[in-house]
Amino acid sequence: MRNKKLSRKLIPLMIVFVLIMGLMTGCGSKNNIEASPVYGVDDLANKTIGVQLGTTGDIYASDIEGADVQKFNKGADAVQALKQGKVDAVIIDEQPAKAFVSRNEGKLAILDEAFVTEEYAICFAKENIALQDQVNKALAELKEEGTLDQIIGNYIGDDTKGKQPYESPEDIKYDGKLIMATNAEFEPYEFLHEGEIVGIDAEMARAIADKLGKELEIQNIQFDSIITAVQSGKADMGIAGMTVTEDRLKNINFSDPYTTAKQVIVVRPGEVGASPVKTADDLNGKKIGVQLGTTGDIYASDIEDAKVEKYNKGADAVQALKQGKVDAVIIDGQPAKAFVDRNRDLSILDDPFVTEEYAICIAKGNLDLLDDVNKALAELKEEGVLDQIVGNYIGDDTKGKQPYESPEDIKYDGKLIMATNAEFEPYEYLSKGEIVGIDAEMAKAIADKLGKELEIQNIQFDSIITAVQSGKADMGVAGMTVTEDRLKNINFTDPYTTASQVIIVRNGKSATAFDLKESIYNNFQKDSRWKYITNGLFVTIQITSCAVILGIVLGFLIAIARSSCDMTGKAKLLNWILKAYLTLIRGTPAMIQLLIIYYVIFASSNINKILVAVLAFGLNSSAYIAEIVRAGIMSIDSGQFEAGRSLGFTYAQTMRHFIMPQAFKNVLPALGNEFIVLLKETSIAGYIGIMDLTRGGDTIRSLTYEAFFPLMTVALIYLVMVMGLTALVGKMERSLKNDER
Amino acid sequence: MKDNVMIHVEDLKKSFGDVHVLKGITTDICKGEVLVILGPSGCGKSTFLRCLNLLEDPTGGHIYLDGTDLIDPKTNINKERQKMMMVFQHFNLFPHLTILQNLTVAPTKLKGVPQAQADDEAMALLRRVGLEEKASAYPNQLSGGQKQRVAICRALAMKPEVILFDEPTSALDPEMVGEVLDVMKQLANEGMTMICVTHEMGFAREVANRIIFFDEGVIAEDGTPEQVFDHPKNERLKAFLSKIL
Repeated sequence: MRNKKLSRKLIPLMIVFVLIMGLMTGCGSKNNIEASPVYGVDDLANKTIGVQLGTTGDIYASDIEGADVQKFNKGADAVQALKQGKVDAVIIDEQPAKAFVSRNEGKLAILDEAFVTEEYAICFAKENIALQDQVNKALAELKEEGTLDQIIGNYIGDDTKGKQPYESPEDIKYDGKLIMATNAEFEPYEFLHEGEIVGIDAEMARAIADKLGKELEIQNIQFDSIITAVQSGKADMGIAGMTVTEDRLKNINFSDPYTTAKQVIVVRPGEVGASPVKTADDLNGKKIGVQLGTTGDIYASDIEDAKVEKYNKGADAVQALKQGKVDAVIIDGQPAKAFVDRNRDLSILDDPFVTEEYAICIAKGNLDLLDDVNKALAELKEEGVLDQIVGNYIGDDTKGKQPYESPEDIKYDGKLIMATNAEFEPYEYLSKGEIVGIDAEMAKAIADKLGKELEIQNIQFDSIITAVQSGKADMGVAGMTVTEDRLKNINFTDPYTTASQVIIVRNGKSATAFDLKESIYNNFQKDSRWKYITNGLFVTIQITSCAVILGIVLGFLIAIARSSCDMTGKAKLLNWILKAYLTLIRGTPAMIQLLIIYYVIFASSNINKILVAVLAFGLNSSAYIAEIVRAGIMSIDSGQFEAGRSLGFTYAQTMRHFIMPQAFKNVLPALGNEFIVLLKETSIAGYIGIMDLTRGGDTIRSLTYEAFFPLMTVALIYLVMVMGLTALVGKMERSLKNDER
Repeated sequence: MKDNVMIHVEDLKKSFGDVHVLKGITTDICKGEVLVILGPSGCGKSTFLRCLNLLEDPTGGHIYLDGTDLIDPKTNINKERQKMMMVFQHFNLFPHLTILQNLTVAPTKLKGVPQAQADDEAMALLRRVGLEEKASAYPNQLSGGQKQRVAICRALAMKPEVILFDEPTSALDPEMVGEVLDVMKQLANEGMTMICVTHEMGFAREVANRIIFFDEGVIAEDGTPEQVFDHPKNERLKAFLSKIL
C-alpha cells in the first residue's frame, strides 16, 4: 500500500520533471548554438568581441562603444571562442577569415559589410633605412614584373590557386641571410603546410630576398613579438599581414604597402540559410507555403512544379518558412509586413507578386444587403471615412491616431453579423482580446450607416464563405479578394481597397535571439494574453463536461436498448436503426461531424456554437460509450440475469439492480479512457470558431510567432487535466471494488 | 386429479431448433412433495426445470401453478415466479451485494417488506444455516458450500411455495456437498415442496417421496424411491442405475 501511494505521487512528479527537462533542453540548446546577435557593424556596440592581440582588429574593437574586447593570442583562438558562444563576433582580416569560415561551413559566416579596408606593409627597425629602401625597390620591381600578383594569385585567386608558385632563379648565389619574423597562423599570408611556412608573405619575402641576393630565413614567433624582434635586430624585417598604424610607426618603419586587405566581422549565422527564392521567377519547383483558401493559395497552385503547402493560418505558413520547411510564402502585403517586422530573418521580395482588390462577400440571395452595403461603402469613401480608417492602421504618420468613432446618438435596430478570421493584421487581428483592424472598423462604420449593431464572428478563413452562404453571418469581411470561383458561390460588394500578394523569404540573417524572459512576457503577460488560455480552458471544460453527460445518458440508453434487443430478439427495427447510428458516428471523423452539425444540420439557425460542440462531441462519444457499455453488459454471466428473473424481478429491474451495477464497474476503466479521448478531441472545436484551450494557445502563437510556450503550455494543461481525470476514475474504481476485497 | 396438486404440467414440449428436448411431459406435483428428477445427461431434466419457471419458453403445452396458466401471455409471470424460487448449480449470487443484501433485495423491492423486517428475517435464515457471521461479507469471500446455502436462504426469503433445485451440488467440492444436502433435508422435513434435479442418489433415496426418470425427452419411469431404485422396470433406467450405483 505504501509503495503504491508513493508511486502514485511519484509518477506525476516524474512527468513534470521530464517536461521541465524538455523545456530546459529546448531553451538550453538554443542558447548553446544561438546565432550571433550581430548583423552589421552597428550591432557591435556593447557586444563581446574577439580579436587577436595586437592586430588592427584589436585596435578597431577597442574604439567600439561599450564593447567588451576579448584579446586572444591567435586568430584561431578567437574564432574558437566565437564557435563556443564565448564572444559574439570576431574582427579579423578578410583572407584568414575566409579560411576559417570555409573550414566551419554553416557554423560561421562573414558579414557582407566590411569593417574597414587597410594596407599591409613590411616593417623594419627605425635605423635600418638602407634595408627599407632596398626592399621598397625590390617590391616595386616585383609589382612591375607581375611577380607579386602571381604570388597573391597563387593563394587567393579562384583559377590560379596553387598553380603558379614562385620559383627562385636557378642560378642564384646567396650572399648572407635575410631574416624575416612572422607569425605563421594567418592563412593565406603565412601558415604552416607540411611543416613548411608558406603563404603570400613567405613567397613574397623569398622573392625580395632573391632580388637582394640573400638567403631567406623565416622565424615563426608570436604576432605581438614581431615588432620587438625587428627593433632588437633579431630579425631584419617583419612580414605578417601587418597593417600600417600610427602607433606602430612610432616604433618602427614600414615599407610601401604590398597589398590591401579588409577587416571583416565573423559571426555565427542562424541555423537556416537564406531561401533559394530571390524573385517570383524562382518559385518554380519550390515549396511554397500559403494559407488555405486564400488567393495566395490559388496563385501558388498555378506555379509550375511548385509544391504548395497549405496551412490553416498565415502565421503557421510563416513559422514553416522560418523553420526551413518551405522556401517562400505567398501572402497579402500588409500582413506580410506585420510578420516581417517581427522576424528579422524574413524579408519581402521587392516585386509584388500580384495586385488585387478586397471586397465584402454577401450571400447570393441577399441582394438588398448587397445594395445597402455598396451604398454605405460609397458614402464612406466620399466622406473620407474609409481613408481615415485605412490610415489609422497603415499610414506612417496617421497610425493609431484617427480611430473611427460611431456617431454618439446612434440607435441600433437589429444586428449585422460579420464573419472574419482575426489573424490578418492589419485588416483584422486580436488586440487585448478584441477584434480590431481596418476591416473591423470599416464594418462598424457600414453597420452604423445601416443602423445595425455589428457582431463579429471569428472563424477559420476557409469557413467564412460557408458561414455567409448558410446565413450564419450576414457578410464576410476578411481581406477577401474577388475571384471567379468565389463569385460562383457568393456575391461581392464593390472593392474597398487594393492590396498586393507578396512573397516572403528567409533573408539568411539570424533570427532574433531567443530571450526566455522576453518570450514569457510576450506570450503571457503582454496585453493579458494569458487570458486566451484561461478563457479557452473554461470553454474546453464546459464543452467536455456537458458532452460527457450527454454521451453517458445517450450511450447507456443505446447500450441497454441494443443488448435487450440482442437478448430478447424483439424490436429488430430499433436495433437496426441503432446499429446504423453507431456505424455512422464511429465511421466518420469527429471533426467532420462537428462541421456537418454546424454548417449543414443547423445551417440556417443562429445556434450557440458551444451548444453545437456539446451536441457534436456528446453524440460522437455516445456511440463509443454505447459499445463500451454493451460489452460490459455482455460480460456479465447470464446466471446473474436468470437469478434476477427467477426471483421475480422484471427485465428492467434485473438490468437496473443487478446487471448495470456490475457492468458499470467492469467498464469504468474503458469509460475513463473514453472521457480522456473526448477531452482531447474537443481541441478541434476551433474549426467552428470556438475559442477553446487549443485555439487560445493558437491565438497567442499567431500574435507572437512563437511556437514553444503557447504549445507547451496548452499541452501541459491538457496533460494535467487528463491526469486529474485518470485519478478520479481510479478513485471510483477502487471504491467500487469492495466485493473483491 | 389429486386435491392438493400445486403444479400441473400438461404435454410440455420444448425444442431448440430441430432438437426436440422435451417431447410432451405430463405430470402433477403436489404440495409438500419432494420430487427428484433423474436421467442421463442431455435427457432434458434441466430444461424441464427451467421451463417450469419460464426461464426457457416452452414450445408447447401448459403449466398451471395453483390453477394459473403460466404460459398464458396475460399471466403476470413476474408475480407467479415469486412463488417458485430456483436454486442454481452455480449459485448465481449477486457479487456486488453483501450476503444480507442478497437475501433482502427481492423481498424489499418486490414485496415491499420494510428493510428492517427483511433484515431480521434474513438474519434468522442465515442463523438456520449457520452463516449469520457472514451477513456483511461479499459472495466472493465465501466457499462454494457457503454460497449455495446462502442461495437457498435467498430463495427462502421470498417465502415461496415451491423451490426448484437445478443440480445444486454439482459445482461443489465433495467435502461441501454434505452441508448443502443437510439444509435441503431440513427443508424437506419442514414440508417444503421441492423439485430437484440431482445426481445425489443417497439424497434421492432418503429424502425424495417421488422420483421421475427422464429419457430422451419423455418420462420413462415415475414412482417412489423404492420402486425406482429397487424394482426398476425401464431398461434404460436399469442401465443408468448400474452405472451410478
